[in-house]
Amino acid sequence: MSLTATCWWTLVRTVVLCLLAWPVCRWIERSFHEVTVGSRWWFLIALLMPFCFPELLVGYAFRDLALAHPKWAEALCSGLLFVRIVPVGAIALLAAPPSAVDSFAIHCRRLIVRHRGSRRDWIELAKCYWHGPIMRVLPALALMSVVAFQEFELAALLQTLSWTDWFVTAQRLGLEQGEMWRQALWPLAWQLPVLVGVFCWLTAQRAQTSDNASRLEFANERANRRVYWLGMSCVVAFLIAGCLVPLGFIGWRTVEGFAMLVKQRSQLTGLIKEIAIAGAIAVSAGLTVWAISSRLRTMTALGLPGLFGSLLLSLGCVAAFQSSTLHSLYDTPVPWVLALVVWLLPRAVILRLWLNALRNNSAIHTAMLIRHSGGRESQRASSLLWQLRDQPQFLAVSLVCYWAYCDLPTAYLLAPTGMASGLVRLYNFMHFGRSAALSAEALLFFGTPLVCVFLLLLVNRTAIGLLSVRR
Amino acid sequence: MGSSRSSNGPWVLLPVVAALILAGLWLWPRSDNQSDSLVVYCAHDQVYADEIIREFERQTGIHVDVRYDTEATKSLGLINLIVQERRHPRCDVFWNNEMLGTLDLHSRDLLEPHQGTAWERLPEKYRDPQGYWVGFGARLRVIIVNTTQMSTDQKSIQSAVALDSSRAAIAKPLFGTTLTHYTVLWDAWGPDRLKAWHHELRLRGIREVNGNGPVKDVVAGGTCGIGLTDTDDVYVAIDDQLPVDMIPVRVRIDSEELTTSAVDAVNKPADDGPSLGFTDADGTKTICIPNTAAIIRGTKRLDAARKFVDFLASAETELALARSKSRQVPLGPVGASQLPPDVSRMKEWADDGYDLRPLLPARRACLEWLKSEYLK
Repeated sequence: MSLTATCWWTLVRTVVLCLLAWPVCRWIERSFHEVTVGSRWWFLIALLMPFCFPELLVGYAFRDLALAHPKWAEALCSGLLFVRIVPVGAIALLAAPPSAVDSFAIHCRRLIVRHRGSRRDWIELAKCYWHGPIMRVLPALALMSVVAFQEFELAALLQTLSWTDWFVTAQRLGLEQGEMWRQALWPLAWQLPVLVGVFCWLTAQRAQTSDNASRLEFANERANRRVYWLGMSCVVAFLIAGCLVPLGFIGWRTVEGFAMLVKQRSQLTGLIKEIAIAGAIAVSAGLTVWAISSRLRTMTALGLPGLFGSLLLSLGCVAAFQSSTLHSLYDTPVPWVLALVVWLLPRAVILRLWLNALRNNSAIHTAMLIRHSGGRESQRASSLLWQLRDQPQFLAVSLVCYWAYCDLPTAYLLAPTGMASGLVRLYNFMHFGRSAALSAEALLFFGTPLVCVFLLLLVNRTAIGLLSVRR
Repeated sequence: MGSSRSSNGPWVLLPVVAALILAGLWLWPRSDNQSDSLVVYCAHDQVYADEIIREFERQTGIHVDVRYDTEATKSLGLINLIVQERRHPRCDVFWNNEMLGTLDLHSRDLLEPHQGTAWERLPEKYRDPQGYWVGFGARLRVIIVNTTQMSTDQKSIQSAVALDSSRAAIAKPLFGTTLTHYTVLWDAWGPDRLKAWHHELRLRGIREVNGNGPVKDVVAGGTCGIGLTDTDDVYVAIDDQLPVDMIPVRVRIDSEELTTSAVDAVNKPADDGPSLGFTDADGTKTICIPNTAAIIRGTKRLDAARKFVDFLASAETELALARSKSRQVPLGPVGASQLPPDVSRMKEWADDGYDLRPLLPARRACLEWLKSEYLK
């Protein structure tokens, strides 16, 4: 099948999934506003989990099912993709500013249309919809479509059609560089409208000058109980389908796998080294991208290439660093980190916007004042500041690093000799089928960063606690 | 957006921390004189190759950095990488898990000759006359059969394929040993017959999957009754005590067979047609695909590269590969008593192997056709 045909196939899948996901995102958004403030973090964690759960593990878990029932592979792949894109859309909706035109204004405009019905009134009504609900939903749809269109590992492991898989195959078959870029224009062209959508969103975010904390409080459309339960059910169902079921598939022989792994010392040592390499690269890329994303205004345009996906970026980096000018850097970690930084920049920007939206500025300001007062409460204020301001940032940076850690195309195409990420080896072995040892290795590889983050949080909390007691 | 600036202070230090991590990471493995590591591109499965390479390190003290390819694009990805890097080669030795790709590199003048101890011990059929490459430890193309669904004989297999081709599985022939298989058929049958055969099988719904591993999985799992794969994949299933068996693929080489229509061969399997491109009659050849080792032109570590090639194609390594889970067939002289029974049986099949050395033009033509089939 040609690249154009696979692009069309991927596009149709993307459009169908995004349209189906849109109402679900709205249910989830409304449910969020009904959740008590104290439970919102748990709600968000549950919502984000299916998107953050490594795609490779999901593909690995469902691979045998797709092989046994090839006619259902596309449905399976689409279903799993749906589970992954809904959190993206819901989060984008939660982070989006309130609609510039509220439902009351639209209702009034519709009454006018019904009463007079002139052409100009219709145009005004359309403008109301465009500047109101559509502009608000557009970024969510755009982001969801980027994720769905750029899908790689799931499609490859479940053996369904996608332009990314076509590209990897063609590249491995020796596609000339000039031809590669000419072919790459197709998927780039498909994504151009999406880029415009995201750009609109970022522009809208910049225009937003009101207190960020009020953004999540607008809740002008209170959810009824049915919608609330629909949203909650979706979050739970996605958590089960996107995380718990794959974990169940993989984890049921994990104990046996760990026992085998412990016996194979050299394999275990190799895996630990690979985890360390992937972790160091991910931390380097994550920290850099987070720092760059702080300059949101100037970095908006720089973030756009990241929306082309890590696969195209990696292929571009391979081509660029094999040229004589940059060749001295070719076999170093620089291209790998660079590709990750460019790819992650839009995600980091979105995460920052989201954090800004969630942040309670007045509480932070009060805590800062108390801390600077130097009184007895100063240390408690520090602890509060950590919880209100620094901990969310720490978790966001961790998430960005984890995305870098789990990205296969960059690791596969750009890792220098002797610095292979365990991800590539796991991907290779996953094509051989499921085994206890491989499941254990996969859990160790993907679980180690999570344990590290948890430990760091624990250490920090203990340190703050100790300091409070000392005072 | 403006509010994000208020807390930017500490974050501007992050790139500095990141740069330090990066520099440390890059310099760390080079601090213990490992900058002279031998760089090996390896298309053989990592699960089997790692042990051999570590043994070489133990014996010689030469550190080896290995780059593996992905399972789905076996060998071809690395070959293209070597071609792309021709001006500044990073690879010293290419351990390919098949032969025709190595011949391709030789034809592009990317290999360095070496007639060492390994070259001397190998039969002519499995080495380059000038020493540009050597072959060792071979696999065979086989038909894997799910023994709960049919017996492992030619008649049952041909009937099954003729009745329902969707019960047969094959890897996409763009890569690896399936590409070699197609190249052999291109050479033995001629392009027209191969194309007709291929189109017929696709039309009749043969399961095409991304690699020989998945072929083994769908057959062992019972989704398909038979499939075309390699011996090492079959042994993975056998070791897992799954209900599979195999027979070697055989290609008829007499000229009369070339005139037989492939479509007829599939539609009338009971006559004499090779419904999966095989037959076990006399005058046939098996498809025996050796690993190959070659030194890349422009290497800065020529001595170490030579040692590695000699080690790879030594009797010791061939025996190790034969005793490994992949059960690869030694091509040079080794004591027959030292071989496991499985490998002894395969060695007889391997002796009938099709001569792959003249097949480079066929491979190129076949690959061009396959690209037009799958990518256009």
